[in-house]
Amino acid sequence: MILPTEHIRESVTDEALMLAYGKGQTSAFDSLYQRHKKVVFRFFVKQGLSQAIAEELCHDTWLKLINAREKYQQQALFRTYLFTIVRNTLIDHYKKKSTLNEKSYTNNDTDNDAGNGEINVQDDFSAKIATSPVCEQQQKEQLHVALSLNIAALPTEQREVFLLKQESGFSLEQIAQITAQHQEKVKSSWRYALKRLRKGLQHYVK
Amino acid sequence: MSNKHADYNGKQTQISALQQQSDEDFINELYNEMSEENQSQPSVILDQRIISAAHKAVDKTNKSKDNSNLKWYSSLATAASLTLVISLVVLQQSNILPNKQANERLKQGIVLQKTMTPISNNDSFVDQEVVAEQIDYQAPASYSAIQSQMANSIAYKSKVATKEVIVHAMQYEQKTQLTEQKSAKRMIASPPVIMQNFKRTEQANTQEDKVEIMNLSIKQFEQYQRSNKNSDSRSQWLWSFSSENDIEYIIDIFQNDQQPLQYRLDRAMFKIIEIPNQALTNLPLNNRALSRITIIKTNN
Repeated sequence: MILPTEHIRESVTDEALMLAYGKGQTSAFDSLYQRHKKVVFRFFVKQGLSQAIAEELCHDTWLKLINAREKYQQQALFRTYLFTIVRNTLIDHYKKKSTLNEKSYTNNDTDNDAGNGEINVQDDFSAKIATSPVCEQQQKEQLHVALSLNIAALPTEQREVFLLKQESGFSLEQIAQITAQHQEKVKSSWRYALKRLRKGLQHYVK
Repeated sequence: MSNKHADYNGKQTQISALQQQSDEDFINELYNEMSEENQSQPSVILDQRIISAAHKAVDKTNKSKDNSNLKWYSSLATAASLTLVISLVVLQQSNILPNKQANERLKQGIVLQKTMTPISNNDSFVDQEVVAEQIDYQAPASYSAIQSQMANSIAYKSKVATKEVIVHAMQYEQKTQLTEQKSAKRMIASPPVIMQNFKRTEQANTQEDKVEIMNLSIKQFEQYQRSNKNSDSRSQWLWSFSSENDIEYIIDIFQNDQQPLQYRLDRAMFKIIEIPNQALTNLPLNNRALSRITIIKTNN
């Protein structure tokens, strides 16, 4: 498959670009990378990782995609395929760093469960910020910082679902496909993530 | 009671849905504001690293594909070369192609042909023993292969094969006799020899010769060879296979120039019997597979 010139290439689907790259057309990969590099990078950054680690994981993710180019088959959306790789890369990272020891939250995990320990810490932090006298702009910035902190403090499953939906724009059905989980469980994780964030940011909302 | 409970559950669900919707709206709004402000993206160095890795991977694949094609061609060339070499060796072994040995024998054959001189019909062979050596049937093969078109002909091959049968039969006969003489070592080393005593007179042409099969021991044969070492070319005749039937072989002996006499060689007894009035004419010597007969003069 030979893709058309640059201005027409904008209308070519991700899947067609990936297939073209699998057949050796390097310019197709350039287009793909330009389309998705920011989303992938932000997904890692929003995990609470540093810029350097996020870049390292980005590099690993794209290399995995490069190595799997000839095996790619158009069975689902390319973005779903890409974020499956992204998620696996992140899990590998956590395994390496031995940080994947958070408890998974079931539907019975309510706001009163063990996960609240982290949130309570955030609550204390947020309460201090909220009570300090600042202008509106500063308050907004503080709110954004608090949101980032609360997202980073979410349990892994909830954070993953939240970022895939909020940052990458996937539907819950697609997230279930990416994370290989039941759709109801994904929906539950999404609901609890919202609740936690709402509670963590309650000091900023009057 | 149950209706009240159902109403209560319904209200709770509605409240939680509204709460979730309000939470979602609130978080969405806040998150979008934050995303607009924070447009972080990977560094240019990372971009270059990833894109160059993608290009290198494709180049590497193309190169490996080219190499695999080259490997295919080289293996084919190797197989073809091996086949050629093996076929050449097989052909050479089957003497279809002339080799060095054949060339030497070709020279011998030419010399033999040149030195063959006419023998007078009046020569007396009364006191001579003729030792027929059918030893070297490859020499005329290579000789004739180059001299004429006989090399690949079926007739030629059949003649050679028949000669082999004769020789092997002779060897077998001699070995049997030598075994009877309890001389195993000599039996192994002994060359196939047929001794024929026959009188060649003018009258002999009209009668069957008296043929006697004798065995020579190695010592005797070597003695005869020494005594005939300096013999002239007249002591060597040429003979060739002509035809065969169930009982005998017909051979042509070239005693004089280009005019062979036909003899019968009994298959069972190995008696050589001259066929009277069978002097052949116009037989080209060049096209015949020839063997050598050595005439050994004895003291008797």
